[in-house]
Amino acid sequence: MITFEHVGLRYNIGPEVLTDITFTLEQGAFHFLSGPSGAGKTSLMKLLYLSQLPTRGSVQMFGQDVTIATRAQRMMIRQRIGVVFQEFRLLPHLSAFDNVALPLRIMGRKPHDIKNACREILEWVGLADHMHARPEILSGGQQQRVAIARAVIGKPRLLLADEPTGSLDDATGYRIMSLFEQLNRMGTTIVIATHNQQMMDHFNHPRLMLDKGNLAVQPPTPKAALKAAH
Amino acid sequence: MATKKPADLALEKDDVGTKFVTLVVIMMTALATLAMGGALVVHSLRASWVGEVSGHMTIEIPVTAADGTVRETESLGIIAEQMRDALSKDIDIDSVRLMSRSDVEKLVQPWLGDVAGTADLPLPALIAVRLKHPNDAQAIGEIAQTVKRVDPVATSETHQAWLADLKRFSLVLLMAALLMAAATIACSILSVTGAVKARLAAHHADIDLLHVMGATDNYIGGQFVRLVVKNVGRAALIGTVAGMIALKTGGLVAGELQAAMLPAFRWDFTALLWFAVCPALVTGLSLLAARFTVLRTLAVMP
Repeated sequence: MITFEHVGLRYNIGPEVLTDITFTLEQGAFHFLSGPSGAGKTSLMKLLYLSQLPTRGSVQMFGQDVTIATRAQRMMIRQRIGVVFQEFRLLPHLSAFDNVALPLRIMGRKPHDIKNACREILEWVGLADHMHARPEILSGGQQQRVAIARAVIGKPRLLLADEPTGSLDDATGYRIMSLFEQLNRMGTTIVIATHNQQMMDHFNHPRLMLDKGNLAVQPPTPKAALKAAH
Repeated sequence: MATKKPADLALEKDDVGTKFVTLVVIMMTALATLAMGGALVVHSLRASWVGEVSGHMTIEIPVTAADGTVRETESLGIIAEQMRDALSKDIDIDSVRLMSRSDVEKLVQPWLGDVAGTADLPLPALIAVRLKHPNDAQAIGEIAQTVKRVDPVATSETHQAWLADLKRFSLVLLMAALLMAAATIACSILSVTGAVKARLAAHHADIDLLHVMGATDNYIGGQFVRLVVKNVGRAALIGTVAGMIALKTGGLVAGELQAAMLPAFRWDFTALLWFAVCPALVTGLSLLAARFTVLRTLAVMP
């Protein structure tokens, strides 16, 4: 579904922040993306949600080479991707309902369908009672759930989350990870960028490990090794 | 449940910017309306001047005869009457009027001062002729021949040179007024473009977010266009009404001061149509400018 081949990325005339990245994400895969600070996680995420285009190599997404896709085609690809940002990036002047409704409005869905879908998804993330609340009066966990609801409402084929549990307490973090696993079971491919070793060990999915712009794919850790480590 | 779809971008939140642009558009549209009103007055003035002069001819029977002798007032009168009779028979002439001595005295008054009562002063005889076909050069030529037949030293003047100068002058005034209207409209559009650019910069992160969600440039551009149509349209309408009120007030004051010099401004359908064009033009061009600015800026975003 998604294939990166010998991808490199540099900003302007600076050094390459990503060097020769090659990996494939199959439909329904669940991967953690990890690595030390400055390893290039955010840059790789930007390539995945097409906020950046590679300076070399090829990126295939949903059967299209994004490096040669037209602007309109890239917009269509983006509509199949849901993104959860570390800092949530909710629009402060919109209610939780309207924030969640954004992707469907962009897709041009009918108001009646948007209303039903938003109600359903906000119930799913446990925010049915906060539909009309603006982000400023929601807690960090609630805002994160609104951001997740917004990312998944368009039924994306790929969900990207950047440190989705970084600012949350453990209980809320685990609850949100469970939501991602539910989505993954429904066929959504998921990539979560995180530093949280405990979380990665607990949910134990393959890891894309970035270090100094280079990527290594690690399979899930065997359960015995995990037990020994803890 | 929300019934009205809110704008994705909080573009209306920028109160100071909105007020400033609104004020600029109101002022500029009011000025453009005044300039347009000025253009209409000049146009009407030109039509009235041209209407008064065009189609008229003046025949002058000079005091000095061909042999250099000064003719008596009485003999001039006889020649003038002969001239009038000859011209009256011409089928291309609508009317012939022999100007009285007092009419001629009034005409020379600006140059010679008050000459009323100075019967000794030799003054030429003048005949005002109204033509049936003002632009018929052949008819005018034939009239000139008739004039020369009656009195070889008499001259006929169609005022074409003066009329041409007048037309040129009024055209310059008209162009200046329209140029001023265009300049004020352009200022208005430039301020809208500046405001749009400022908002694009201020909402860059939110626009980037909409892009990430797959929003097309047209979708985002539409939000700016809706805002421009709403705010600029309203401001342009207010400005036009303000300009019309100023024009009406100015017209009343000018009418009281010097009614004879300027023709009264006519609030007819044409004038109202021109004034309606003003806000429509400002709004339409601002919309296009805003859309162009937004799309050009978005095109360089990933």
